[in-house]
Amino acid sequence: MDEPQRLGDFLLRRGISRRAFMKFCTAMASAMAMPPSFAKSMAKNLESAKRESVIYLSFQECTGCAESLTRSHSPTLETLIFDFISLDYQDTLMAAAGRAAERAKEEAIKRAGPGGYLVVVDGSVPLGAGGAYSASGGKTSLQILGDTIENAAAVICVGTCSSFGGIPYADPNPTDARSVSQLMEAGKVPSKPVINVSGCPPIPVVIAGTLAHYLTFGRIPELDHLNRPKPFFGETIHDRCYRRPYYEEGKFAQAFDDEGARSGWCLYELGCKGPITYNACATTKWNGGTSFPVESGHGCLGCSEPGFWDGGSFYKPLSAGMLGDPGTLGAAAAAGAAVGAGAAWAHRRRNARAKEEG
Amino acid sequence: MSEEDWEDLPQPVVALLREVAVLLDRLVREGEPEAIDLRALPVMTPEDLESFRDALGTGEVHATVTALGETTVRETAFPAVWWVTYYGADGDIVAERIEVARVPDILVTQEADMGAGLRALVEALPEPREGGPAAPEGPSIRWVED
Repeated sequence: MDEPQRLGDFLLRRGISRRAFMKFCTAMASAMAMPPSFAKSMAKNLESAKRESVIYLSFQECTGCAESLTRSHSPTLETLIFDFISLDYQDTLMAAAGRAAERAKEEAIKRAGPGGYLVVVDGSVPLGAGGAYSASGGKTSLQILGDTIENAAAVICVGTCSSFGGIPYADPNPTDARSVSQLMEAGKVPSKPVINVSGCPPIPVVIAGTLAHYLTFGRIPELDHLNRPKPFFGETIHDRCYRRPYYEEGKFAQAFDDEGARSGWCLYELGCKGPITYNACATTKWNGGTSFPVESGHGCLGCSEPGFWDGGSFYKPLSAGMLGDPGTLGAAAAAGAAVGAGAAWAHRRRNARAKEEG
Repeated sequence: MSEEDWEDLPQPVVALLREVAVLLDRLVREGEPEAIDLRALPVMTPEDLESFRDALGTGEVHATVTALGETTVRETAFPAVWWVTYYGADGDIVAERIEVARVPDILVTQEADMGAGLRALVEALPEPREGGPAAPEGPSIRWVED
């Protein structure tokens, strides 16, 4: 029996009720900070949308990103996104292997036609040793990436590795790893619209929401200066942190077991990178909405930002390491709100510079 | 809540209640349902949210929908103003809204579900016995693929 092409028909065939579908759209609209009425138009658009073919490529990565999206035992709203797309290739999840798997990919690309499919990339691509550090089926990751995205509508980089190089890219970058954007800028693979859904790993609802946005409108969402979808990366962890009032009052924990830490004071002095990290952890949280790192008592590592692994110690306050300008930011403990904005601005400038230097 | 309690409400709560009144006015005049996303509001303290909840009070209807986790639909003391909390399968809150409508969308049976239900029911029914009463001549079954 042929699978229905319209998403609404497909969901009904799968036994997913319209109420569950409405709920998905309401949750996504809320997560994307869209007006509440958006949920209804999202449902209407999605219902008649075509199930988009998606090819998911894994390169130098730990599979934590795929794990983030699929971790749950019970069907969650995030995993519902797998019903919205036609996942035609994912070498970790698919039953087929070897030539059969590669054939499935080629057929899906041919069936979808030019501009008719999306490519999700997980992991960085190594150029060292002729690409030998990451290869399968006799092809290097660079070749696989280039061939697969040639006719793609857009590339969604899931995780910090494919977005910015991530941990493989960390100094001394032994495999000469690159991000997808770097490879496009260098002309090593065809240039396509790129959406960076960074994070180590990214928040499941952010992955699902970005895909849902594309399926709803048929175009990529508004992006920030690092090509991250603004609905999720528009604010810093610090902007929405529940410990923020203590920052304003100048109350900072000095050790992980001191009185301040126990009282829930700000973790800035313990190295929290919240003020320069754009992500939605503070609002969407993790593990079924349980908490996020700062709520568990540890500072933010800044994992959705480029070069987070090389930013100095995770336990040194921002003023002492990451920004390299202790003079300006040293008075953070007393200065209050303006510092967060200043640090964020300085970091954006630093990222912009890093981007220009490529 | 007594009259004095309303006088003492914090400013952000009063502002939010005014917004609810504007939306209810729109529903009354134009029949247009609207909603407020409680998670998109600028940071409100848990105490503010609690006094907002107290001010809205409790109405006649309390419903639970079970579809990919629960959704609780609670009418407030002001008819057509509903407090709707959407939970994920793990019990986490995935959305929370004040919905101003005759009936929140999540409660209304959708047309496609009706069609699927009718089909399931007809398929489950035994064949009519010979000589017995004929099956009712209902409208033809609508199925989304038609």
